[in-house]
Amino acid sequence: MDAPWIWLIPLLPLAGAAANGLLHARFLGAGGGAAPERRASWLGVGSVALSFGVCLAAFLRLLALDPEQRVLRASLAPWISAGQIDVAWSLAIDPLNAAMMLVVTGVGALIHLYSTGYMHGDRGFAKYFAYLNLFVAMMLMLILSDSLVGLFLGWEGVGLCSYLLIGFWYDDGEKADAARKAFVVNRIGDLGFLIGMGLLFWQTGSFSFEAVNDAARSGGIPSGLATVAGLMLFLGCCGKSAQIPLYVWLPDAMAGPTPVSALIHAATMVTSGIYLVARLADFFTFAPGVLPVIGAVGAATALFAATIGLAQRDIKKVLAYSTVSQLGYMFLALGVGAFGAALYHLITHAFFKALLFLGAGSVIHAMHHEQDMFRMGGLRDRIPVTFRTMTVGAFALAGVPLFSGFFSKDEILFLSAASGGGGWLLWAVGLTGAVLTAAYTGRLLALTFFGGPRYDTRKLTPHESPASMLTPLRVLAFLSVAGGLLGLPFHLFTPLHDWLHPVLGGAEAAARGEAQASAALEAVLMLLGGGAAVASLYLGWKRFVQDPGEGLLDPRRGALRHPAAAWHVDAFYTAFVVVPLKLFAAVCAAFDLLVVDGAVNFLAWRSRESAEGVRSLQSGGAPEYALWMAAGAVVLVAGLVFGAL
Amino acid sequence: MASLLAFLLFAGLAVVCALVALFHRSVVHSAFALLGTLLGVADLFLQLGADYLAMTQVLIYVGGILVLILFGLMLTPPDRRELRPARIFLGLAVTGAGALLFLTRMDSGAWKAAPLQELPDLANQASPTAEPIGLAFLERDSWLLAFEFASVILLAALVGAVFIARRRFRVDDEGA
Amino acid sequence: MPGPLTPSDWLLAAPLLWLAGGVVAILVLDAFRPAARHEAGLAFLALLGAAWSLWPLAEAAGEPLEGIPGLPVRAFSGMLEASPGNAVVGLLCLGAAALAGILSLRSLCRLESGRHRTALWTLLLVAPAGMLVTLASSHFATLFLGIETLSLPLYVLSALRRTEEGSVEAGLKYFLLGAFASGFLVFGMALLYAGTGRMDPGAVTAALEGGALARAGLGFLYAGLLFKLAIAPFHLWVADVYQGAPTPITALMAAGTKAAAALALLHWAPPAGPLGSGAWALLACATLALANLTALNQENLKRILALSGVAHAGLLLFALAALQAAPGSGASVEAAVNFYLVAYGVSALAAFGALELLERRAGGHAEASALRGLGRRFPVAGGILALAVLSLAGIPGTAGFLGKYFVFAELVRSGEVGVALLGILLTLWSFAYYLRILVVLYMKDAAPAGGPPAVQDTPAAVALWVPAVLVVLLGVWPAPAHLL
Repeated sequence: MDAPWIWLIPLLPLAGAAANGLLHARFLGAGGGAAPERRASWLGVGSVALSFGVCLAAFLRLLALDPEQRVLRASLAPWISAGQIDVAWSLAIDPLNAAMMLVVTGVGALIHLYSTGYMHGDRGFAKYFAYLNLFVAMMLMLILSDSLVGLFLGWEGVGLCSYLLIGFWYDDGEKADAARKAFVVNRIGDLGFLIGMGLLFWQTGSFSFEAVNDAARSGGIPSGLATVAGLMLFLGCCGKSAQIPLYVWLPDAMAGPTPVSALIHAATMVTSGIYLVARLADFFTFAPGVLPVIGAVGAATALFAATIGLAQRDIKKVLAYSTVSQLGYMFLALGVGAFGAALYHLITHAFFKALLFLGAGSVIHAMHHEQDMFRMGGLRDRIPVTFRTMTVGAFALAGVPLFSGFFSKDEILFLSAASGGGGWLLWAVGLTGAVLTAAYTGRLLALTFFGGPRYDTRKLTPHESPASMLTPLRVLAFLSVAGGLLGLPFHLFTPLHDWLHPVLGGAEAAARGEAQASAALEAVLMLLGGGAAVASLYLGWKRFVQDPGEGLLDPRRGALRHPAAAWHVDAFYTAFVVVPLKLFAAVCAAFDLLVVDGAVNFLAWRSRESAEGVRSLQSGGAPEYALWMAAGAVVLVAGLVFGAL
Repeated sequence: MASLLAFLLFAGLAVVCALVALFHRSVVHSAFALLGTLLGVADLFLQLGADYLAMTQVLIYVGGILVLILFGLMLTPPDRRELRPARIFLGLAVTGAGALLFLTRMDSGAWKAAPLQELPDLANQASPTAEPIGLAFLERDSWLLAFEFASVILLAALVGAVFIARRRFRVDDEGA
Repeated sequence: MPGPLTPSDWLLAAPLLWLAGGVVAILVLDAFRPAARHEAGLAFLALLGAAWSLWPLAEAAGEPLEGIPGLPVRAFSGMLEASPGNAVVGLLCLGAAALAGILSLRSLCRLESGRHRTALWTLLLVAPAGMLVTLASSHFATLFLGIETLSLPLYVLSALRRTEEGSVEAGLKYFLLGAFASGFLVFGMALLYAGTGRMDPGAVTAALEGGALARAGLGFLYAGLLFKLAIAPFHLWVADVYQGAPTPITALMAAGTKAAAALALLHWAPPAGPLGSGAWALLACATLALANLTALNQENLKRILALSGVAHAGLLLFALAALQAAPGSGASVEAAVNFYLVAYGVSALAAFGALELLERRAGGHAEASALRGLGRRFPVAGGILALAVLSLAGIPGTAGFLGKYFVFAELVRSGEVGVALLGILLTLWSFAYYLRILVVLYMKDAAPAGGPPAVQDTPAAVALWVPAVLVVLLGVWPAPAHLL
């Protein structure tokens, strides 16, 4: 049904971004201060909170509708209509993106609130909120659009905001480099996205999700082309959602302010790839060979990133690799056709990972921008609220039973084990990753909060963060526990799956076929997973609570030296991609300098020479101009009369 | 036969006077030669039955514009810089090309005029044409819009003329 | 046959009545209350009224208006004919006049102690009236009258700074050459009428089937129209006149005259087929190449922008070439042309308007040396000029890009891929001088401030945001001006 008011959802944050942008100019003029900060905070938090309110209204409206007809549409105006291309500015909310938009605006509002405390006193306070609001607007555009073009607009928009926010403190060269790296790596993925989008349009004549999914269901897309298009789109997802081989930008992206890492690089933007695959679930299901690739890449990333997470010293880097790893689990779920489970994990992950990042931010705030865990320790008494809430988040991440992450990860592992074929292999990889996850989570807790202080206690007295930062932590801690209720095992209580069923049910049935497994198997796997997680968490904590193990990371002798160097992937890329490219560029530059520039310079010289000649036409004398006009008229008339034209 | 003779006479007058106007050394003579051209053309209009047009031609061009030109010439110092040989040559070349084009196609019968459709065949009307022209200007289906809109352009011309004729004031408030 | 005016007559005459009414009101009030400063208010009222009365047509977009049969709307037995897309271009002309007026409030209005206010404002109303008639003309009478009515005020306005040699020279040069071109135009009409006996656009078709007399007339007619549109070799006046005229007037000429002349040419373009696309494509390429070549070595930003206007006019001829090559593409070509004109118009308005503000800061000069580094000293005006230049260059995300895209898309669709590629190459060549403007604005160290300090001009600074926002808005959302 038509609901034009849903346009408010993206437009409110957009208006907030514009207002904050204007405020920024004033802000600089006023030299900062409390009053302008308060105004920027109200605008920033208020616009997103209002948007969340509209999302709730839309959700309730959907709830009132018959499950099969749960779609709200709003078309603003035609956008581009040239030839076959006919794209309108239009939104459509169905159960799938309704769930996403609630997470984005809800978690988004909390993180905005948190930022008011975290960014206090920064010169770019209003600018920060302008960017963050713009990000939310773009993310909502991405989620709510009913066509690939609108999604792509949001996709690029969030990429831009991510770039701006990673390099928010652009005075620092390293941070500016990190922003550039994110931008460049994402461009590679976007190239794939564009190719995939073009192929789909070429074949179906439409950019709309419905048309693409319908065409896929009715076999309207040749299978070879569907495979290529699907893989290309997945390449785009790899860029945005940081999967092998394009994950390298995400750890560096931690250069941005910590709330940005929480919102953009953990809870929302990086999940766009998962959303895209779920959005086109029918298409991906019917594109032969694509889902297995997605599953394999996801599982590999989950395990690979978890090993690296075990050997980081920077608290945010641990969480960054953990995010890459958890996104891998989501792709693993997509790959085995468990679209609902992927969304489930997406949502719980948004809660607990945002919580962990915000907690880390609180720690960093307390430690005066120290991020190295080897220089922390014993903080549990100093910042008790942060400690308690972060522990909840850590338990959820590690998969301790009854916390939300346990249920969602368990469901993914169970469904991959039950998917037949190579399912058991995927399960084994996933379980190993989960064990490692619990281990590095335990290590993180131990290094940060336990043991004795490893910093100079005379110079630094860690203090708890202000209420504006603690409130979001408490709310997210609650959600990290209660989120499990969205989908309890054994079909006990599965509101999220029932909610998504009208959208994803068909694709899930088609992708998973007859793969069913007994409740007994589910119970066994669950006990195994839960037990392994708890044990691993305890062992990880135990191992590092006495000895921080800095020596393990020693680049020459340490046991963990390879994961500490991220398995040398960056070095590999540098050696085998960047250096050859640079060499190639050098050769090109030489060629350019000698041949092309020579030719261009010659041309430019020629055109300047002829420009001089032409300029003499422009003598400034009216009679000459008249003469040329007369000559032109004679040529025109002659041409017409002699029929030459 | 008589009409042919009259045509040749007045057309000849117009052409010869135009040539004199173009090539005479004295611009004042040229201006007077223009008088002959304008009168010749006015007579051609008359022969075609366009009595109103002929009268207007005499009144406006001879009575108004030509007099204005003469005034202008008398108030302007002579300036011969314009007549650079290169420019004369180029001008002749362009004109020659146009003339050549005209002459080569003249005998092919291609220059024949089509029968008039829009206006009543004025040439065959004995009665004065002022009345039908006047009526046509005031009828919605024919020239009302053009007639009315022409007054806008005249108004603009008037405003422009006043602007140009005004005394110059050096005082300039701009930017103050 | 005498009869009352029909609703279509009123629809197309209403904007003209508003504008003419404004002129009369200004003159009458000026006669009785010479001291009162009412001109600007009345003029803006008239422009607003004209826009308001034109709005229903622009808004109709494909649906017939109440009481008026069919689209395009024909009025006065075919003297005027306008589609919704044309109405959008008409709104652009009115907006251009309004912006020229706002830019003049603190400058031209005060020339010679404000003695020329009356002339300025009446002529600023007459010019858009002429543009409206020209762009809707479908009869020799309206075509000629429209072109004369839009030109005459501009001749005078160009010479408004009577104490400056450049301005007077611009006015005189424009007047002489314009009169010369009008001679071509009328002569062409006479021959066409003699050869075909018609005075409507059907004469063009008839002429192409008819004899040499009518064909020669057609040649002269196009010579006259191409002069107004500034197509090579009829473009030589542009640089001198645009440079010499006061910049607000230049903005009006660039956006309005070009749009009106282009739509007139489109109305009077030959139907697809008999002429072939080669001639138009040749003219387009020649114009682009000449404009680019001339612009490369210019030192004056106004001249560069003027030549950019010539290049843009040349590009427009590609649309005519597409029309020739593909019969039946009339509607979509017209939509492309309308959008292109609006896109170029708003970009040119933003560019010349911002340049005017910067010029005042540089002591009234638009020389590159005087404007060095001003983009950084005056971020808003500089930013708007930079944005407009990006749009003129055709950078994606701006209106200018989509304008060029639509035209080249028509060309490609009509099968002229080679010509389109050549055109795109020629367009890329033009980046050289657009880049130069940006370099002058931002990369050079600021020139020392010259001349007296400029007067704070809030109305102009605020009004400039309108075209600037439109440049971006139409760049991402072309639909409102791209009416099929």
